[in-house]
Amino acid sequence: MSTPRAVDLVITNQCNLRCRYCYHFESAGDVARDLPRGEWSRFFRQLERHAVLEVSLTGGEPFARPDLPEILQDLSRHPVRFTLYTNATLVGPEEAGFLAGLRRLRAVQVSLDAGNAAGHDACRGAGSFERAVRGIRAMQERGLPLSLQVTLHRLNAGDLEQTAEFVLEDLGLPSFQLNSAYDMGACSRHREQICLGLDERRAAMATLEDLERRHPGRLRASAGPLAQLRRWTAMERARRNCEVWPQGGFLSACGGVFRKLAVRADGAIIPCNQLSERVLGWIQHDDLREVWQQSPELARLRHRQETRMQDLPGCRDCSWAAWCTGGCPAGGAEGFGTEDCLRAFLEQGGLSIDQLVP
Amino acid sequence: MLLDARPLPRAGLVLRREHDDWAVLFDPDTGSGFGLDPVGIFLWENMDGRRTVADLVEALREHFAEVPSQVADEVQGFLQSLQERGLIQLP
Ligand code: SF4
Ligand code: SF4
Repeated sequence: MSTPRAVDLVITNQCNLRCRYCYHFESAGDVARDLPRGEWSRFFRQLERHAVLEVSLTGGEPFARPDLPEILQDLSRHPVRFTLYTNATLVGPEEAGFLAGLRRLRAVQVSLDAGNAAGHDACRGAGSFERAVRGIRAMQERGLPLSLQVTLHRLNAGDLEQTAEFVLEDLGLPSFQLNSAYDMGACSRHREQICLGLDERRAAMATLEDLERRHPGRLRASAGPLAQLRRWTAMERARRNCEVWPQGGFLSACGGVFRKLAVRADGAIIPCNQLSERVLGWIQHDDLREVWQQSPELARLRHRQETRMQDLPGCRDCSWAAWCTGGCPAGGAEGFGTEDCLRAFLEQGGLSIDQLVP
Repeated sequence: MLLDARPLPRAGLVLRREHDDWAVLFDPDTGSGFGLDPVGIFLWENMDGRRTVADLVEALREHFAEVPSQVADEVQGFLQSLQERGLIQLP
């Protein structure tokens, strides 16, 4: 692939909230200044020249940037589809109406952590549930394509059933997406109070399995307990049936480096928002295609998938080493003991595989 | 599509080369994509609303080695499918 297919933009470092599990603040992506609009406009021309097809805009909170409407109008003049990530607390009828007029807006993804104020506000601050729901309803009234992201943590995992009911029944959305608070950025400071422990992960998996049975096809996950449970179940089934998996047995879980890049609020080009310290270049003076093709750091990340799981310390004798694909490269650790490691989950939780995958 | 038709790519579509030998035609308004092989890419890049389908077939014969004898039928069928998807227009 000669250029990235997708690019994630941290369009601003400003945010009206300070969520306790935020991976952005207190990370290398938490930068001192936002790029002026003109720099973004110039970069949008690069996106078009390099046939980038999909863009996402995150923050901070995009609506905390007063010139967001102008930026979105600029972007809409280029042949890309885009997704806007927001906490929805700054969205009213006027903002919703504006978004409804953008024809290349693919989706608005809203963070909603629970179907009740206590579960949502526990990490996001008092009053944010009410404002987020108001924003969601304003966007629904304008028929905007909405998707909801629920981040599980210690203070809302017990609300999962009620959250699902609220999102799927009360709000009437077709589906929602789940992940979990990750030990990065501001979250690291609160890890003990926030990040799911083994017992909570196990309980969340049981509830999620049940919810999946009741709402087939309506729960999505790329990280967190549901994603892990699905991946581990598939790994175990393949092991029992002696099936060979494409890329199984290699450190290949991160496909992002083969399809996308990200840009920090200060213009630094990075492999992903979760790897914000690895600066590959700058949109102010580097060409996206050259960075994509020539960055040694990106090449190193792509070469990860040539590492055999069984060559990693701790993975050698693992029964799943021929099927496991490791986990996300953010955080630095690889193989045994990471959050994505099935064997560590079983050993540390005192579970057998037959209990997890009957 | 008739041999004297003069197809024109619809404006606003993106041709993205995924690897050396294939590409995707992407519609940013709908998000739908349509895969093109090297012959499809060649035709896409040579359609301009002035060249006829017959001209395109001739250009294809000059550009590629070992073009099969029924190529005109195949090109007509391919362009027809692009037209049905709204990806080209006939001025
Ligand atoms: S998680 Fe999002 S909404 Fe919360 S402080 Fe971080 S950037 Fe802002
Ligand atoms: S020890 Fe963990 S990370 Fe290593 S192969 Fe086994 S399950 Fe995967």
